[in-house]
Amino acid sequence: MKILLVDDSSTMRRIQKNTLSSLGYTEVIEAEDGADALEKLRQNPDVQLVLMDWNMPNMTGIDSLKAIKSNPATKAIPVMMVTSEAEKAKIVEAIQNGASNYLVKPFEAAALKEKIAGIIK
Amino acid sequence: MKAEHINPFLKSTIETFRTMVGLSVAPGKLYLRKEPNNCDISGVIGLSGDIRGAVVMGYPVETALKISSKFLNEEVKELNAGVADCIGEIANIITGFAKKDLQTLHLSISLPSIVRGQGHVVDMPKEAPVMCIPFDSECGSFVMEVSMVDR
Repeated sequence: MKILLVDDSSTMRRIQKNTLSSLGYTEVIEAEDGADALEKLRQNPDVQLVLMDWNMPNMTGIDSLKAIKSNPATKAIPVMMVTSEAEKAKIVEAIQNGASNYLVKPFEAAALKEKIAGIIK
Repeated sequence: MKAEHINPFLKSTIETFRTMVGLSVAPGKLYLRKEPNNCDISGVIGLSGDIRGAVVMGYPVETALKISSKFLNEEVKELNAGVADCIGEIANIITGFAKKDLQTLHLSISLPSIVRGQGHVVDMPKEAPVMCIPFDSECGSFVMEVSMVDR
């Protein structure tokens, strides 16, 4: 399964990539903001899951989510928000805009595994 | 600044280091900043909304290198861009997670910024004291500085 990992922090991309690898997800591509994510999806139509940070420069995760879900070519791709934004209002906003799930940082590998499994079952 | 505004940051710091770094951190006694803390690199998050202020996570270089090494799961020997990103992301996660317990406030947080320099001081709003929470860990000591002004 090809996963697009979107986070402006190189540290978080690296940590999540290592975690995904340990869970058996080795085909991972990266984007460093919401706009870059849209470009990476255009270049990689075979992406099957997007893990999206919220607070990023250039284009936020929520704006990128809205763009993905309003584009017929990408609207079916599940997007999970992985963010330090832990407020209920933010979670509701993401789900209402089409997010398949929501994972709050800090998180443990088991939580990431469980959330991904819930999306791709 | 109220105690109920500080406690979420304390709790979030302990939880973030436990979960993301696998590091147990112990808070010390709170004090007001009267002189610079002994920090070489800090992750700074600005707060806006119902309150105005900032959260600063400051580290001596040795602590920053050890924490970054643990976070990245590889030995880091110098304060490079990777360490700066790591220190910024930790501050971002701590502040974001603390917001969960401050939901009575409308609060926005900035993207993290990094300040470097031996014994540097991050300017805070003059109308409020700067509360300092020292932490100790097997990676060394560090300090959280929090300042908030009600709007």
